[in-house]
Amino acid sequence: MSAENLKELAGMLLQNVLDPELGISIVDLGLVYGVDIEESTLRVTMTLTTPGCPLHDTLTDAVRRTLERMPGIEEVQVDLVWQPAWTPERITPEGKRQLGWR
Amino acid sequence: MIALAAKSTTAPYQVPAGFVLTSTLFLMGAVLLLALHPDGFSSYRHPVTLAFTHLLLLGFGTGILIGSMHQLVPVILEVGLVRAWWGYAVLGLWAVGVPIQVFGFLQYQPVLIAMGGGLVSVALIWFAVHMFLVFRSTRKWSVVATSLVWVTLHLLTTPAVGMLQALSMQFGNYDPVRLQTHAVLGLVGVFLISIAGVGHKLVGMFTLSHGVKPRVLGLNLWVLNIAILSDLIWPASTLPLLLLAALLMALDAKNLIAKRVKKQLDVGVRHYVLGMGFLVASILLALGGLWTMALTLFAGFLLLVITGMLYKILPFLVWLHRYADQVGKTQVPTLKDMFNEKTADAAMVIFALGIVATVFHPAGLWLIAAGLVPYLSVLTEVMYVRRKP
Repeated sequence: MSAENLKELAGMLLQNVLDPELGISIVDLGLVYGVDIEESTLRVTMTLTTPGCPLHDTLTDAVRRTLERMPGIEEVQVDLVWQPAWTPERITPEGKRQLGWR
Repeated sequence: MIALAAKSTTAPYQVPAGFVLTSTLFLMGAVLLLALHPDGFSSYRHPVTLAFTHLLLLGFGTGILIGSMHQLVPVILEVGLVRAWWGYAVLGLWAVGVPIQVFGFLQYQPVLIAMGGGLVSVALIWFAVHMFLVFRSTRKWSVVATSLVWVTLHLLTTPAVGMLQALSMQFGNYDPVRLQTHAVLGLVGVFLISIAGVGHKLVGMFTLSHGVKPRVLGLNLWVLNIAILSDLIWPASTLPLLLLAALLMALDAKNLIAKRVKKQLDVGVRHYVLGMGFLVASILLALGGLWTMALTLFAGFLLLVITGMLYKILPFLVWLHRYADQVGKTQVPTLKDMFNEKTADAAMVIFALGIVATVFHPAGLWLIAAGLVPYLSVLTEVMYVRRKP
């Protein structure tokens, strides 16, 4: 599977990682900044809506568990970053629809 | 992302859960006690009134506050608790002390009042020492954190004055003015400051509010503390200051809601907004000298705001305990899946109607008691029912 296909698959799988409060995927909330692949290592760069958000252990573990089953991936690294800061503008149209803004 | 706590940084699940469970028992005891003995409305120093007040405020309100702070303080300060197991000791001392003290009030036995109050005081001192150690270890400071420092301080000043009063009943030098100081420290120092601070944080989290600076809260902390001081120096200014504080709390909530990302107001925020209305009405009635009505509405404000926040805090607590390790492995429920919001709304409406009815007649307390049924149903559903995601 090509790197591009793997990135696409990763994006699809991350749709299953939901914010427990909102019930919306971290992708639609705009929390995932990027997915990169270097050989068999997949690196996810993501943020949270609040700096130092204390549930980062739970969500970063969830991202790792979700992606480590991908074919050809031996290691998943999750980098939690605070710059650029998350803003509501990052929410996808689907995320906005689920948040009640039609 | 909305979150209340990570497992690794907060008290064990059993500590906040134990506070919630025991506090709920105290709430039920308080409502049923006054409903069965409405003569308590005749005087604020009636044994039933004193027992009711301590069950409601020291039992229910303080219990939920302390339990939640074990969960929230690490979140707000972004540090772990220093000694998480201390929570068990605080829970045990408080849970034993409150009933002894309440029994002492009902039987008019100053020794039991002092004994129960002493146990609770030790619990609160222990809790305060723990919190101050946590405050000291943080590098992340905020206005909300400042509010929690004030709350922790007043969790010491309030029982200190109360214990002085209890001991003076036994040994002499009883001063009725001290009772008012005790009440102001508790109602304003502990409850209004904690609701202003924690409310700012929680309403922001529950609405996914973005870009509201805590200036109004910062100003309000000054107003609330000056109101406490003014009660000692110039009591005539206390109520106008409290009215200003209540309006600032409402303004803060309005600002947060206006900047929300989540369109629909969830059940906790609906409770909060309604509670703010009760608070403002309560202070207006107090300004008019209608103290019994005012205090009834104030109790209603606390009931609505605290139960509303609990509908968010408890599901998150249980979710972390039960499902956090499962995320990514299997499908897990969201917080909304964990209880029926319509049941929580029913509790809110019945409580609100009951409070308004009680303002006019003590029989309204039975309506509040009826509201406990859906309230307990929600808590039971959250804690014990494993819904299919």
